[in-house]
Amino acid sequence: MDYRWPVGSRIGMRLRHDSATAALVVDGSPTDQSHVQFDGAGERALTTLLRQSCARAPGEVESVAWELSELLVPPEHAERVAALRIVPRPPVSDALREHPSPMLRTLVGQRATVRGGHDLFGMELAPVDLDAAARAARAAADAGFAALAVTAAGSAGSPDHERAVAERVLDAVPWLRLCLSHEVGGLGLLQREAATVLTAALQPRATDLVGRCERITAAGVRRGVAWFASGDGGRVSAERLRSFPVTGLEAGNAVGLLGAAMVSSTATASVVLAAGDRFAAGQVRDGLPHAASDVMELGGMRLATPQAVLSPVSAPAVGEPTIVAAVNETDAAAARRFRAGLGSAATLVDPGTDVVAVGCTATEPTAWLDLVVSADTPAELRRVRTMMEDRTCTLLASGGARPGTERVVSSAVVPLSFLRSGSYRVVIRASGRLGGQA
Amino acid sequence: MNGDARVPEIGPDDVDALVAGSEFFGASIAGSSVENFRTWTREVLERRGPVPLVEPGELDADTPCAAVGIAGSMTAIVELPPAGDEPATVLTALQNQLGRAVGAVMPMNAATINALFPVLAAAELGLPVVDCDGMGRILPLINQTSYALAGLPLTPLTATSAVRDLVSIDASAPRAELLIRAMLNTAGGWMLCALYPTEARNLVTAAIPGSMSRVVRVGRLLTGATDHDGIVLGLRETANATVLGSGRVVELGPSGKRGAPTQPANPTTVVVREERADSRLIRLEAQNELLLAVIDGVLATAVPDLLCLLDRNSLRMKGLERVGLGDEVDVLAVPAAPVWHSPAGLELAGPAAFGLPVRHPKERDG
Repeated sequence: MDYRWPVGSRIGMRLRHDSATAALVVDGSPTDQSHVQFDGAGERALTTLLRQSCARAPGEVESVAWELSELLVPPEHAERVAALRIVPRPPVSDALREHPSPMLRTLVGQRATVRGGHDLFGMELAPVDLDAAARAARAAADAGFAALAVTAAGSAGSPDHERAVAERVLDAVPWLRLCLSHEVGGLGLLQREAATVLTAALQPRATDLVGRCERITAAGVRRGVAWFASGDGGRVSAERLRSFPVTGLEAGNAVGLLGAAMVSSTATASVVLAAGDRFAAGQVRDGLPHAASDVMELGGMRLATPQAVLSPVSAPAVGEPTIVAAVNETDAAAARRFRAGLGSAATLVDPGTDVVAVGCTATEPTAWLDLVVSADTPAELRRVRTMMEDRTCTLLASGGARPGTERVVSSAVVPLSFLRSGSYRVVIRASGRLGGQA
Repeated sequence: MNGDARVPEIGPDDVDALVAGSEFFGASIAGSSVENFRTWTREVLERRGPVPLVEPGELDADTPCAAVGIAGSMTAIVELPPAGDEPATVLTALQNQLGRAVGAVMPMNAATINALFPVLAAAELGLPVVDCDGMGRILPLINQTSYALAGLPLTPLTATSAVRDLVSIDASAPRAELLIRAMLNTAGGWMLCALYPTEARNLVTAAIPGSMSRVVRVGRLLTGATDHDGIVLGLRETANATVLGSGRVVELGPSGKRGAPTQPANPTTVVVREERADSRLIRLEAQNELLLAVIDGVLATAVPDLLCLLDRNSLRMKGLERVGLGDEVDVLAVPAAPVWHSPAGLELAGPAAFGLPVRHPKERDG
C-alpha cells in the first residue's frame, strides 16, 4: 500500500538563531508558510507567528513540531561536563584515554576511568570499582561540574555497572546530574560516549529551548502540544528532547528530505539538499528518510544515535529521478545550478519553500533498538527478532504513537564477523502515527 | 601513479593513508569507526619515530621475526578498545617464550586494524616492519596464511586481551586456531596475537611481498581522489581491482545455511541489482567475508580472491556489517596473491574451505 502523508492540519516550526518559519500543512499539502525575524530572546513574535498559521488552518491543528538543530550547535559552546568511563583496565596511552574527537575533548572538562565493564553479550569482564567511581564523581563536583556522563564497556549488553555507579554516585553526590550511556543506546564505546557527553552538555540548553517552545505552543495553538523533530526524521516529545537532546542534532537535514518529498507529492524519492556550497544526497522511503545508527558525524565524532543517511555529492549524476531542494533561501542559486546539471531527471523544489519547516509536519514517532544477540538456530533467531520487534513497538507506543499504528520499518539482522556462530547484531526501526490512520 | 612503488617507512603523516588503505582490504568490517586507532598510531609514531618498512631480503637472514595481529571481532573491539600496551606486551611475551629477541615484525594480515598493530608493536619496541603479510586480505582463520602454506609453525603463540589476560599456546596450526577462537568468547571478543615466529630468510618465500606498501598506496589513492571514476581507475592501477557490477542492495540477511563448522559467524547473503537495461543480479555469499559473487546464476569470482563493496555515494568502502538495503555500491574484485591460486592455497582458503559447493575458476580452468 502506498504511504500516505499525515491527514489533518499540522504546523512545522523551524527555529533558527535569528528567525523562525512556520509551515502549515493540511492533509499532506503545504498550504501556508510564514517567516519572522526576531532577536532570539522574545517569545511574543513566535507566538504571533504560530497563532497566525493556526488561524489559516481549516480545522483544529493536530500538532506542532519544532526543529531546533541549529540552536543545539555548535556543541562546543555547550556546558562542559565530566566524563567517567568504565572499562576493564585504564588505558595506558594518552591517545586512548581521551576521546579522539577534538570537539568532544573540549566538552569534557574532567575525565576519569574506573575498572569494570561487560562484553557485547553482557558477560562481566571486571568487577566495577564503585569506590573509585564515587571518588571521581566527588572530584568532578568539587571542580564545579554539574553533570557526569557515564559510559561503560558493554552497557548495551548489560547496564548493571552503569546503574550501580549511578546509585553509588547519587548517594555520594546527590546534586550531580547523571547521564548513562545505556539510556542513550547504540553500540561502540566511543560512539556511545560521544552521544552521552553531548546529552549531558546540551541538557541545560535543551531544557531552556524546549520550555520556550512548549510555552509558545500552548499560547499559540488551542490544545497545542509541542513535538520536536529528531535526527532520524522522526519526532520526540518535549520530555524526551529535554532528557536526550542528542536526538535533535542534525534533525534539519532529516526533515528537509521529508519536506522536499512532501512538496513533490511523493513519499519515496531521492533527494539532494543544497546547503552553502555543499550538496548531500539522501533517500526518502515510504515517508521516512533512510536512516541508520552509527553514521552521524559531528565535528569528527561518530555518534551512536540514529540519523538520516546523507552522502556528500560533488556533481550531478544522471540516474534515477531526483528532487533538488535548498535548505535555506540563500542556497536557492546553488540548488538551481545542481538541478540544471541533472537535466530532465530532476525537479527543483520552489526555493521559496522552507523544506525543513514543511518536513517537520511529516514526522511521526519512531523507535530504535540496536542490540547484539545470540541465537543458535534460525528458529531461535526468528523468535529473538520478533521479540525485539515487539519491544521496539512498545517503545514506540511510549514515544507517543497511537496504538495500532505501529509498523516495523526495518529489521536488519547481521551476523557478527569473526565471533562464534550464532552472534548477530539486530537493528529494529519502527514508526507509528500520531493520528488514527495506519 | 606507480602501482608498485615501495614505501620506505611509516610515519605519522602516513597514518591516514594506512587507515584508508587497510580498510579497502577488510571487506567485512570496512566503515567501522577506527578514529581511536588513528590517533593512537599517530601518537605512538610521533613519540617513537617512523617505522622502517623493509623487504625480507634486506634483513639479515637469521633475523628472528614474528607476526602480530588481532583475532576476533571488530564490533567487539569497537565496544572494548585496547588499553594501549597490548602490542608491546604480546610481543615481549613471545620473546620471553622464545628466549630471544625479535628483530622485525610482520603483519599477520595487512588489512583493517591488523595493518596498524604491527606498526604499533614495531614502534614501541624500536623494530622495523617487514613489508609483507600472510593473507593479502582478511581470511577468517589465523592458520589461513601463506606462512602456514609454506610450512612455518604458527606457534609458539602469545595472546593478550583488553582485560590483560596473557596466554601462550604451543599447538599445531589448526589446533591453535580452535583454541584462540574458544578463548575469544571469554576475553571480550578479541585478542591480540604474536605468532608465526620465524627467521627472515623464510619470509622471502613464505610471505606475500609488498603488502604494507600496497596498503599505503591504496590509502593515498582513497584519501586523495574525490570522484568515483578516479577511485575506480586508481584501484585498478594500485590493486588490480575490477568492477564486477554496480547497483543497489535489494536483499540482505542471514542465508539460513550452515557454514563450514570451523568458520566463525553465520553465512549471510547480499544481493545487488544493477540499474541498467538488463538489470543483472549480483548475489554475494558471505561468511565473515564476502566469499562468492554469482552474476545471473554464473559464478564470477570466489574466495580467496577479494570481494569488496565501494559505496558510490560516500566513495568509501562499505563493510559487510554496515551495508544496508538500498545502498548504491560497486562490487569490486581483486585477485588474490598468486600463492592462493596454487592447489594448496585453494585447499586452505578456496571455496571448499568455507563449505561452499563450487570450485574456484582457477580450479575449473586447471
